[in-house]
Amino acid sequence: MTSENFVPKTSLDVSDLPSTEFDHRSPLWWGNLIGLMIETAMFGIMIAVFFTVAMNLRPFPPPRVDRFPVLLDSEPNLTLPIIGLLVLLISLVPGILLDLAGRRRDVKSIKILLPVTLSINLALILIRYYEFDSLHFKWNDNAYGSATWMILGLHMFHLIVLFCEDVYLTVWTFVRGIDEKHALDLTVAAVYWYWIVGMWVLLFPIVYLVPRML
Amino acid sequence: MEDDDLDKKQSTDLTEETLEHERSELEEAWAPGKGFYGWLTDVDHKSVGLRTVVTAFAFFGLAGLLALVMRLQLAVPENDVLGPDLYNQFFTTHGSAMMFLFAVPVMEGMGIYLVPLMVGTRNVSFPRMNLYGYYVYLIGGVLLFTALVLNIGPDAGWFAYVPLSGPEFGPGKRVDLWSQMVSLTEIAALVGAVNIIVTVLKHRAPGMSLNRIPLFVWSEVVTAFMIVFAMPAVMLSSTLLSMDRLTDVSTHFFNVAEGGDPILWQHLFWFFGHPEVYIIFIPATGFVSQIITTFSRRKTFGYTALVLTMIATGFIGFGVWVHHMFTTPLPQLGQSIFTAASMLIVVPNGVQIFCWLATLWLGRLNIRVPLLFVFGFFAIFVMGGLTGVMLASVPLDLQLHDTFFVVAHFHHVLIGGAVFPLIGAIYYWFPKFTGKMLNEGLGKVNFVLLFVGFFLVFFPMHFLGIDGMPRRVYTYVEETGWGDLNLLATVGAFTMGVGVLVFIVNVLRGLLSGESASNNPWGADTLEWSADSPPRPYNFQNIPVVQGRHSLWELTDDAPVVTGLHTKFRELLCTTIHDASPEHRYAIPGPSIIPFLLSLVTGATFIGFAFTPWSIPLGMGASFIVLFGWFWSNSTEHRPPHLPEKDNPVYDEEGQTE
Repeated sequence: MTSENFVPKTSLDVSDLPSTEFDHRSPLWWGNLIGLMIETAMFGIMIAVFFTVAMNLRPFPPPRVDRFPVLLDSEPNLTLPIIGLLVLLISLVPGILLDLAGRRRDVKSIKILLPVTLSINLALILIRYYEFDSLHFKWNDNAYGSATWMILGLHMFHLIVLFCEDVYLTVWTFVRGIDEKHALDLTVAAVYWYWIVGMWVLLFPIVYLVPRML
Repeated sequence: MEDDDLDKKQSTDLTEETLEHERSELEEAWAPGKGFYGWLTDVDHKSVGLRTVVTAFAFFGLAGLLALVMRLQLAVPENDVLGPDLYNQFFTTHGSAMMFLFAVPVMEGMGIYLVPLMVGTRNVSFPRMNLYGYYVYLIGGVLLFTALVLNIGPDAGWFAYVPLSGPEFGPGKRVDLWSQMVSLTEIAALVGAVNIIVTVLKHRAPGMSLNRIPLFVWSEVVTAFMIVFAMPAVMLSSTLLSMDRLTDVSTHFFNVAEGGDPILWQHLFWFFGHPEVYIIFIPATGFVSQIITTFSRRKTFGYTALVLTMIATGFIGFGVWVHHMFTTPLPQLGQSIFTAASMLIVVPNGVQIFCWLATLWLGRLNIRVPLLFVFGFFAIFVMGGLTGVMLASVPLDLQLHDTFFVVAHFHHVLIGGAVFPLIGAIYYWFPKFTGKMLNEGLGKVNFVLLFVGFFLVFFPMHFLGIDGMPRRVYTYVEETGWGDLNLLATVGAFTMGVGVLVFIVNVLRGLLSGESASNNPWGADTLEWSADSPPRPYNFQNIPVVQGRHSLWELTDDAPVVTGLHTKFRELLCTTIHDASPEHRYAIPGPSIIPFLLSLVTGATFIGFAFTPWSIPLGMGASFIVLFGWFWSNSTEHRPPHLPEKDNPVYDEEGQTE
C-alpha cells in the first residue's frame, strides 16, 4: 500500500470528523481509566494486607501499652475521619459541576469552580494530615499501624496528585483559556476525582469501622 | 460515522502527484530529530520498541553469562569457581534479570513495535509516555547489574522471601536495590500496558472489528490487562519490603513479632509471580499463531477458540498462585482449590495446541527457520506443561519443592514457551525491523544448537531433582552421585551458549550484509507486511481499510484507503471500540526531551528510597515540576501554529469560539 507507484482507487475520507471526542470515545479517557484500574489493584492488595494483619493480631486492634496514655481500647477516633469523609462527599458537588461545565465549555463557571475544587482539595489534604493522629499508632509501632498508615498514605498520595493536576489546569485556564482539549482534560480529571471519592467510601469502613467490629 | 459508510467506497481523486506531495509532508511531520539528541527524544513506537527489544536481549546475554558461570561451578563436585556468597548473587541476579529485565520487557517491546503496525495506525496513543517507560526500564536494569558489579547484588533469590530478605537476615543494601529495580521495571511494564491497550481499543484501522484483530495483537492485549492487575502486587509488596528494611521507616508488614506475616509476602509475590508466567507466555502464543498461519499458508484454524483460550488463560492465571506455596501451612480446601485451578489451566492451553496442530495439518507447510522454532516450542513446552501438571499435585510437590525438578520444569516452560517462539519471531520479523533477511543456514544451526543444548541442560535436571538435589546450592559432595548429570548439564549450557552466539552472528551478519527483504517476504497476512521494510516513521502513507480477518490475503483490488488525516502534523485516526468505524482524529505530540528528564527523576526517587524516605517527597516535588513542563508543552503543541484553529477551538466567556 505504501509502495511508491500504487494509487488506490477508492478512499474513505475522514477529514470532516471532529478532532476531540469525550468519554469512552477518547484515548485519554481510556488511559486514565486503565491507570485507575492499576491503582484500584493497589488498594485491593492493601485491603488484603490489612485483613491479614487483622487475623494475626488478637485482640484487634492491639492495646497500646508502650507509652502513655496506655490504651487498652485502641480503636481509632472517628471525629476527624468522619469530617474528612463528609467534606470528601460534599466535594463531589463542585466536582460534578466542573465536569458539566467542561462539557458545556462554560468558561465562566470553569473559572469559578476550579479555584473552589482546588481549595476543597487542599482542605482535604490538611484533614488527612491530622487524621493520622486518630489512629493512636505510628507506622512503626506494629503491623496494624503500618497497614493503616499505608492505606491512608496511598489515598493521600492521590489527593496530592489530583491537587497538582488541578493546579496545572487552573494555571493553564487562567493564562491560556479553555480549548477543546482542555475541556476534555477537565472531564477526565473529574473521573479521577470520582474514583478518589469512591475508593474512600470503600476504604473508610475498612480502616475505621472494621476495628470496632472485630 | 455509520458502520455502512465503510462499504460506501468513494472514488478517489488521489493521483501520483498528490500522493507524492503528501508523502513529502508526512516525511517532514514524522521525522525524528537528528543525532544523539534526536535519538534521545524519538517517540516513534518502532524506535522505542526496537531499543526495548535490543536492551532486553543485552540483559538476556548478561544473565545467560551468569548462568554459564553457575554451570561451571556445578560441573563437578566441590568446585570452587564461585564461593557461596557470589553464587547467591549470581542466581538471584540471573533469575531477576531474566524475569524482570528480559522476558517481560522483550514481549512488551515486540508489542510496542508491532501492535500499531498490525492494527494499521501510525503510533501508540501516548508516544511520550511510551518513551518514558523505556528509560525507566533501562535505569532499573542498569541498577541491578551495577549492584552486582559492586558486589552488592541481591542474594535472596528472585522471589526474595522474607525473613531471609528482611532487615534481620538481609543486612546491607542488596535487597533494597533489588526491590527498587523491581519497582522501576514494573512502572515501565505498566506504562507499556496502558499504551498497548488504548492503542488497540482506539486506533485500529477502519474495518478491523474485534473479530478481525490479529492473534498476536489479541495476545498483547490480554497480556497488557494481566500486567495491569498483576504488576501492582509486586510493586507494592517490594515497596512494603523496602519500608520494612529502611531504618528510618521500619514498618512491620512482614515482621511476625509485631503482627506482620512472612507468608503474606509469598502471597503478594506470587499473586504477581504466577500471572507473570502467563504475561511472558501469552505473547509467545501470539508469535506462534502468526508464524504458524503464515508458514501453513492457510487461515488460522479456530481463531475464536484461540482468542477465547488466551482470555481464559488470562483469568485462570490469577487463580493459581498458591501452587507455589504448597509447602506452607495452607488450609486443605485452599490446597484443593489451587490444585484444581492449576490443572484447569491445562484445558485452554491444550485447546490452543490442538488449534495450531490443526492449522499445520491442514496447511501447505513452508518449513523455514521461524517454523522450526515453533516446532521446538511444541516439543519443549508440552513437556514443561506435563511436569507442571505433576507439580500441581500437592503430595508430589511436597517431595519436589525447591529441587532441581522445579528448575527443570520452569526452564522447559519459560525457554520452550517463550524463548523459542521469541527467537522464531525475531527470524520472522527481522526483515520488517531492518529490511534485511537473516541467513537460513545459520538459522538452522542456531536452532539445532539451542534445541539439543536445551535438552542436555534441562532434561537431566528432572532426574537430579527426583534424586534430591536442592536448587540454589553452590556445590555438592561427590558421594551424592550427582556429578555426571551435572557435567552433562554444563556441556549442554555451553552448547546453548554457542547457539546464542550463532544467533548474534546471524543478526550482525544480517545487518551488515544480509539479503535485502521485500515488504512481504513470507507472503504473510497481517498489515505490518504492507508497510515498507523497515517501515517509514509514519508507518502507512494512507491508513488501510481492513476487509477481513487475514487483512492482506483478503484485500481486494478496489480496497479503499483512509484519506483526510492531516499530513502536516502528527495525527492518528480513532475508531470505535467494537466495529472500528472511524470516529475522530487525534493529534499526538512529537519528540521531546521531557520523558527522559522525568525518567531521571523517577530513577533518582526510587534509588534514593533505598537509602532515605525523604526521596519520596523530594521526588514528588521534582516530578510535579517536570510534569508541569510536560503538560504545558503538550498543550501548547495543541494550539496554532502546530494545530489548525478549527481542530482545537478556544472558547471565550460566552462559550463561543474566538
